[in-house]
Amino acid sequence: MTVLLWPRCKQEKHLNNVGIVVGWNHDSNTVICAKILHHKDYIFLRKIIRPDQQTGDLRILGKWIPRKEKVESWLSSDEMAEFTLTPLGPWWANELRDSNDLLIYYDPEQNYNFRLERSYQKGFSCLLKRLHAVEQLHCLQYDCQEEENDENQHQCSAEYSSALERRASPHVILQNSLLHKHLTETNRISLHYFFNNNLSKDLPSMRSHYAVYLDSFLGVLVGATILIYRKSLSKILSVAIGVQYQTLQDAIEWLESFPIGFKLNEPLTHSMGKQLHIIFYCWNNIILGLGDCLGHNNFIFWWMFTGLGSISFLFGATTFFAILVDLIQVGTLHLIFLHAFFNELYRFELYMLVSLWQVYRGKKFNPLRKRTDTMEYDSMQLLIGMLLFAFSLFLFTTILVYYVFYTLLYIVVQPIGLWLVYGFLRDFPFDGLWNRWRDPSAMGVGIYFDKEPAHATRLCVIPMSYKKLLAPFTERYLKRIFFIFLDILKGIGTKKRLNIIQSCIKD
Amino acid sequence: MNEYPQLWQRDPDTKIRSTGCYSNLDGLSKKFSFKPCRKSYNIIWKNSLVIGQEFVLTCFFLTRFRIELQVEQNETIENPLSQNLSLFAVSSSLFLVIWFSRGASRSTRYHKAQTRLMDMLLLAMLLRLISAVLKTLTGSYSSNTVHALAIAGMLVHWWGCDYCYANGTAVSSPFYKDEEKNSSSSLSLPVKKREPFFGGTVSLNAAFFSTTLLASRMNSNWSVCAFVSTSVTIFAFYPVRRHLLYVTSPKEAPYVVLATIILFSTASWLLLQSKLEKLIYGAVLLIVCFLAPTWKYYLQDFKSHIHGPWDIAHIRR
Repeated sequence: MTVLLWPRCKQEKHLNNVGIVVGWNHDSNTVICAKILHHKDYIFLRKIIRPDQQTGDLRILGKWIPRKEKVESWLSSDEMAEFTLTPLGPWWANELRDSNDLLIYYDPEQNYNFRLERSYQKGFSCLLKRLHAVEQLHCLQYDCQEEENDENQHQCSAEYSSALERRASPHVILQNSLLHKHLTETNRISLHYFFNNNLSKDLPSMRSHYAVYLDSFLGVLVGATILIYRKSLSKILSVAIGVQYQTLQDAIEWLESFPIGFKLNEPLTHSMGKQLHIIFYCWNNIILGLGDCLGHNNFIFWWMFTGLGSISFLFGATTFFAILVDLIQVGTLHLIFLHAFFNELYRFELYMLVSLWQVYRGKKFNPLRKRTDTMEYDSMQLLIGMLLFAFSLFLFTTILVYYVFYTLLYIVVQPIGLWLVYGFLRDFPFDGLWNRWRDPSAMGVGIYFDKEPAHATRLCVIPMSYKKLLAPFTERYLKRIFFIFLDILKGIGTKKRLNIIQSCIKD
Repeated sequence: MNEYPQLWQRDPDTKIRSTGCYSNLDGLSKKFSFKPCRKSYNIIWKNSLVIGQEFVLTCFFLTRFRIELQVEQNETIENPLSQNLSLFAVSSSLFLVIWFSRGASRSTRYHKAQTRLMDMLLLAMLLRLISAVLKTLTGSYSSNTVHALAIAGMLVHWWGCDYCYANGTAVSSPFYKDEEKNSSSSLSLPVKKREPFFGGTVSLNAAFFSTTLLASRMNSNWSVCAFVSTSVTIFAFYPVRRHLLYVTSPKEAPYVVLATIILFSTASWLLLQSKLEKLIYGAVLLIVCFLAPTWKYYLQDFKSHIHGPWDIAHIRR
């Protein structure tokens, strides 16, 4: 019994990850292998490249035997592989040695859907689906080290390793910098692309060369525009800074005048307002002073726009937007600082209220037992506790109003639109959409047999849905914006309730 | 045969089971209920005195605040002697209570003096530091709101007070158990730790909360200090001495308490300004100290306890 494969792959020169799909021969309980080329989430079926292959039928390449030793695989911790593949020909080892391989097979005797394995020598790890048809295919990218004694765990993807590096890095500012992420994750410079067509050096986040073309074209357009109108832009920026300063001053005075009917504590409000006036005045002078450096009006701004235009022209629109987002973050640093300050103040106020309310009731939180126990206080402790409780209670409104105001201000000044544009240019799957529309079967997420495995005549490809195609973009950007807002709301509302909402949405 | 003993079942026609069963609930109540010991009117009346005293102290405290505010605002006071009388009432009541409860304290004189001095310094420092914020704490709220909150706080204090402790009932607390381990007599060992307050934590906290609210309406620092000190003396120190008074002198205690009630109520009566307030004050005092005990004395005939095999077991010492 043989299985026919439909060749699909037409663009294998762009793909550098190779895997093997294994069918079966029902008569002799042996395995049949074909070759699959896949680029991250896509798979392209292809026949085995062998000089003696004429009919296009699958050939037997190995025999399925039980494994003697159980080996843990980094791909799945649920179940260890139980079987290994014994190659029957020398070309098998040659095929696998030089590529990043994933071995996929189907074993009807064990009723496994499929198993994944890093290499034939290590064995196979199992996925627990006991169906007859292969429904899903997990394609993971990894570094294939062919040393037999290598027992270290390997990271699943470049994103995972970069995420770990970011977490371990002490430079928090760099971690939050979009430009830093852009340079480390994409390593994509439009000018470099024109001189080097080797797309295999691209990291996964720059998905398609269509995105690169668009990035370059927009970069040239935006850069040219900025360079032409840089003088006007400098003037507009300085005016905008002045308007922003005046708006913030008006906001402080509005807060001091019982906003929305809230009865704020006047001395506290006035003293905070004075300090905020000073902060905004100093920051405004710093920014405008930088702009008017060396006696020239908007000197630094002029050079800043010149630099931005040049960067956009040379390195693409994504680099330009990344720098722009970071510059806006730097320009609104004082608001970020105020948001963080009022956030901590509000946290402290809530903590005081909760703790002193426990004192009011004669209770105390027991951290060992994680419960509230009765506590005996003496009279002086109660007096001081009640004084502080009264303070916390009557100052709560004032602190809440300032916290909410500066949190909303923090949300407003975030360059979310620019970030979305940057994400669109970087991660939107233009190439995938085009290929999917043109030939659905060329964009597969899985393979299946058209009938029962014992009687199947075709190995077919499950085409990828548009939703799954757009998932990386929506997951990374649109959902993330929602969760950021949810995290901010956690600070105002009760954490427990918002955690439940968040867990429901994630599920 | 049923596995479990049957206590009662509805009478099926005229047939009645003879063993382990009662024909009606009356029989059940006769078997398992009993009347508590009848208390004399004297005991009931004496136990209700502390409730009346707390009411009197609460009213005295509130009226005192009003007078202080009027003095600060240079308003004329109807009865100028009432201020001096209120001071006399406080000092003489304290003297009586301390005199009759002397020797009952479990701490040495040195320790007491040390504790009092530390408390005084701490309170003075605290009030000095927070006076600027305390002055304007309730500035944006209307006086009616603040007064209503203060009155509500004092009502919570009156309701939440531990009157068993006030009547001299022994306190079961880990604080005393640790001390009693080292000595056979609980009164002989000098206490080195600060004694917790057992007269009702919520009650005392409510009083202090009201004190803070009312103190925030005053302008003069000396007034605030005097007002807060009076509150601490009346609501924190006085209940402890009263408890010790009932423990050491149970026979004289009710009369001392009665004397303090008379002193404070006289002062309050003079401090109150309108006739309606005086009428309400007198009526409540009368109900609490005389009518309610009389009614309770009459109602105790109708009280019965029901104990049976369904009760949760308690280990008796």
